[in-house]
Amino acid sequence: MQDAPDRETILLGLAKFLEREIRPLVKDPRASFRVLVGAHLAFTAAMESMDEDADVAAELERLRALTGDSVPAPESLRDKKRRVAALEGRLCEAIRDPKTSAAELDTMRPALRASLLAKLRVNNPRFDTRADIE
Amino acid sequence: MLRVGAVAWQNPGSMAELSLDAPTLTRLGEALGAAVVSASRLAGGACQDNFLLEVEGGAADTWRWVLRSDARTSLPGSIDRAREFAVMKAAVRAGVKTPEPRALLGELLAPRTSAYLVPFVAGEAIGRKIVKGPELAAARAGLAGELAAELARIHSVTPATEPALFGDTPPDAANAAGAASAAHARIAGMRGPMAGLRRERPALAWLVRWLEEHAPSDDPVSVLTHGDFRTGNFLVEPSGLSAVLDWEFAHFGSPYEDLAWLSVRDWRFGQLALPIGGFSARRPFYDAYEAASGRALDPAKLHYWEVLGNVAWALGAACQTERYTHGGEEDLELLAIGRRAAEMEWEALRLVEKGAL
Repeated sequence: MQDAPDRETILLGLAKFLEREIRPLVKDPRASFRVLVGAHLAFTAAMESMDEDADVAAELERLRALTGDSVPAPESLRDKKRRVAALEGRLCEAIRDPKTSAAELDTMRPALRASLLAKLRVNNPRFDTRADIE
Repeated sequence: MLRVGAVAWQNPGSMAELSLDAPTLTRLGEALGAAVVSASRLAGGACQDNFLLEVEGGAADTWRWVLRSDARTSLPGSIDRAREFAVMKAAVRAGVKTPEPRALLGELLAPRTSAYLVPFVAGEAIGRKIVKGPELAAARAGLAGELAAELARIHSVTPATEPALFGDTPPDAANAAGAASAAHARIAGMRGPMAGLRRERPALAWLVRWLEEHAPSDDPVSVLTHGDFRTGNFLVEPSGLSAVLDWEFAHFGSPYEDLAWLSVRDWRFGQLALPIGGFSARRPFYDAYEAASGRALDPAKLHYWEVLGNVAWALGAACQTERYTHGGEEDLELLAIGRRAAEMEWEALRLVEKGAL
């Protein structure tokens, strides 16, 4: 499906509509908060959609390197996502395996941090990722 | 919301209706020795349903009461209202500033549930108001010391002083379950929820492995821990702390669990430079606790338990989304909170890499 306006524009439009037009009409504090949550979710979906191809490809490459996966990366986005989920499971098995040494675990840290950073860029772009927080 | 005679409320997630009918209100009035003239539902949690009652006449010593009843659902690690009633009684005996519960009532709102009443206590519980509200500026200045003193009182309750507090559960439950320490017991409690996640989380798995391999062995299950001692679960007035609330995760454990939970990043409500609950630096809080409890604190254990707290909250957030996707609870907030798990995973990993507080 390819048409205008694209998915990101629609989702951002929905987020703005909920926050700017609906929320001021809602007087109940709890309901107002839930409208804000809905707007945030629409914004998150838009953010995820914007760089999805590149983000999924990068995550797949990180996981392939960590798990030693030598099967060629699939072509389609859907298949890449499936491979990511499968390799996440394989990586978790390796992490839980008592035979995996402390040194091996330590080498995983940079990739895990990069993966979390990619998630945070989508889920909460304002999240403070400085290392020197008290 | 209806008043007098019947209270109805629609949970926007489950659409389950809760009500206090006339016989229930009569029973509550008899328990208080006064007439209940109004009842309104309060925001509750996953584990309990709360109502604010107003009473008139009779022997009741205050006119506003809170009814806490078991909800239809609970969270892993939570205790029921009957056990919570006993824990709060023990806390009151230890001098903790928490309302004394009254009238444990069986099957008040539903079969196989318990409920009890506590006197209403005024104060602010909303985290962002506690850490930033100008009207609470003076209270914030003394809050670390007050909370440290309260924690010392809570931690004065031990399996030896209250052996029957958790009923049939042995006081040294961690040891009974084969856990070598309080931390091992907490990690053991994470395994079930971890296994229930339908999407594996490598960062979480890595952090749990780190926790297993770095758990302090000389940190036994030794005291009553509140289990959710953080900004948002105590009430603050301009004059200072008015009450410690929300005991549903109380258990026997390590004092470090409570001391570190207050510093978990999410409970600072954006005030990252103030690691004690978003309102204080660390040293005044730790000094006050050491003075009040007589315990010397180990910075390594504080660091370890802060990592553990962030990991536990990351797991909790991930589990919340499972309630939506596979638990039949179509509440939008459960979706949103699942996407926040990465924040706590990031923070736990940052603390591991930082190495010390």
